Amino acid sequence: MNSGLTKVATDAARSIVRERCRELGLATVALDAVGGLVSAPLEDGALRRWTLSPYALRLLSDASEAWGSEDRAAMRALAPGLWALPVEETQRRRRTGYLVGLAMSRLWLETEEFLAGCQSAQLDAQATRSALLPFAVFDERSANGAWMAMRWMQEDRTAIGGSTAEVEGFSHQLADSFEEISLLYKLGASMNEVNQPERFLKLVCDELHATLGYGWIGALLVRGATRSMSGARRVITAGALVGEQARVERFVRDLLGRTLPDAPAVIAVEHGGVSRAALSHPITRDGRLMGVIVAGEKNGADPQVTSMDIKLVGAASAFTGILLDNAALYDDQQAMFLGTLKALTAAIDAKDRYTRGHSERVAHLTRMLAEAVGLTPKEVERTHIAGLVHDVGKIGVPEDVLRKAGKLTDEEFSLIKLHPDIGYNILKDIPQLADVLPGVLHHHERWDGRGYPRRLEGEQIPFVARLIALADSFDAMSSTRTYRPAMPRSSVLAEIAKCGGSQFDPELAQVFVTLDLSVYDQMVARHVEAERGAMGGQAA
Amino acid sequence: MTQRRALVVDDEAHITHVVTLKLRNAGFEVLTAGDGEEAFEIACAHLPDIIVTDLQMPYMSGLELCEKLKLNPATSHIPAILVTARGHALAAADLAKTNIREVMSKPFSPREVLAKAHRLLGIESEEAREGEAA
Repeated sequence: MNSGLTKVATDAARSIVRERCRELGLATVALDAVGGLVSAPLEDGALRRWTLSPYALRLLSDASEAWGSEDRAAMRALAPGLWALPVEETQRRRRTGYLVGLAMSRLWLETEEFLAGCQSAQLDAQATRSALLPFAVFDERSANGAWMAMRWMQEDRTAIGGSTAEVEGFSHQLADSFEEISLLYKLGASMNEVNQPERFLKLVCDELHATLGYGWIGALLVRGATRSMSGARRVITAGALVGEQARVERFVRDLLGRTLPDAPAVIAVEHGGVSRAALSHPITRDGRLMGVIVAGEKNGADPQVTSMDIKLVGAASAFTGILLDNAALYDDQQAMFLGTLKALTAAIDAKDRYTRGHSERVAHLTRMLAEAVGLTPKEVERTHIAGLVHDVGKIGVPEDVLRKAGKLTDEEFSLIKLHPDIGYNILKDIPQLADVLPGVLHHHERWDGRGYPRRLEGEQIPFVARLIALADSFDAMSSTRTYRPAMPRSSVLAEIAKCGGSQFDPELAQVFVTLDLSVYDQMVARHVEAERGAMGGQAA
Repeated sequence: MTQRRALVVDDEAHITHVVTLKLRNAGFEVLTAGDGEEAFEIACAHLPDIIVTDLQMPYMSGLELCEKLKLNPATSHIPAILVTARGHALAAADLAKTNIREVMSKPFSPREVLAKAHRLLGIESEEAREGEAA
């Protein structure tokens, strides 16, 4: 407990004890350690005036001189029939003064000493005597009892005051601990934000700012800390005032260049002629510096960086490091996944150069359509993947059938019609593709039920398959095939619109014809160019 | 085994309480002090087996306390654990003038304080014994 709290507790205890003494008819004065008067009796009138007389003050100061040499200040007769009942007041085990009860008897009011006091205070003895009569109720025995009661009360009140202050201290400490635990919980619960490290860092900054007593919190990652964040690196801040934003960002940027990956640093922020403490903590991954979190301009009662601050910012940095680690693993996994899919589709395209780029174009169109009908970003991503792999079953269809110029025989067409099932079987054991399988299996179903392989109709057809069916047909009609040249755009769109309700989901067909096809056209152009390059290479 | 005596020193009551409880429950007799001066008097009078002290305190810091104890023949052998919110600002040279054997930074785990006290006194901790029994 700090001495400020002790002082408050002592004062509170003293005033309660004095009030109670007054109710018992016991006047009290407070003295300092050398007997000087600190506080006169609470009672007004004759008693107060008598106590403040030079005569009475001298009696008290003589008594306190005697108490000064006693381990425990003892009750003492100031005059015949007038007893001083001292209770020591201490701070940090040092005696700071006394609370003194004045117990008087009727006998005293008749003594020479009483008269001497009245004279020195220029009081009328007779009037004073009658005014003090109500207080003159003690004898030595009862005075001693009152003294013991006073001591007990003082001890109890001091203990209670101390406990109250301690409970208050505990409560503050507990509240702080709750805040810290809550911060760690929140960060822990947000560790799934692998796609958005910057969003996580913003949360880190906001929470640290709310929990620690710093003017601002800033964070910055190094270039290339995550693949998903290859763009401009922003300094993420919390608490910086609008006018201070640029200064804080500059500070954090400068600091990142000087940050070592192995340890936090306690530094100073100089601003406006004032230097205030700041804490910078590295964010690391495998011992390499990934970024920095800075708690700037400590304020509040303790202007210095504490180990509590360091531990909390350290934990937040560690969380961030793990998140970046996870993000990198996630990125790797995602790249591996997409790379594998692209390899698969490249394998299909390799079998038939006329369909080269078809899978990616269908994937693109499926995505555009999915976005246009308002699917969530995650669903859109999945439809894109479904589009990418929809034709993977063609790997199992003989090349000469795929490449045949001219009309297919029924037998050949039945081989073609196997590709959705083949594709389904190829992909069915990849758990990450379970949700795109319906797209692969059913992208040749027709709205009117005359498609293949299951002859599903209308809304029986999985939604993703209906999206792919449109994209697939559009790209087929727009491309040159072994058996026919590409159709002009207007005819293709007219055909799509016409087939809504027969071949296609009518609502989706209506949306499809409104899509912006500029990126699609760029993709086609790129493939045509690549094709030319390949042909040129062959000719040489 | 004779009861071990520990002196816990901190000006923040919640720290002394928490550490005292932990040590007392583990069988220690615990004395407490609210500052370095008081702690020095108590240490000289009662010769504890171990001292757990805060660093920053009014009147006499934990570091000064431990220096004084080290210079006093009667108390120079008493091992100390320093619990501090300023561990990062400690100089090895200052620690070398004391019998501080462990420095722990706040917030600390009371369980770890006990474990370190046990280790410094060569007492097998209950957990270790349980671990062996298991």
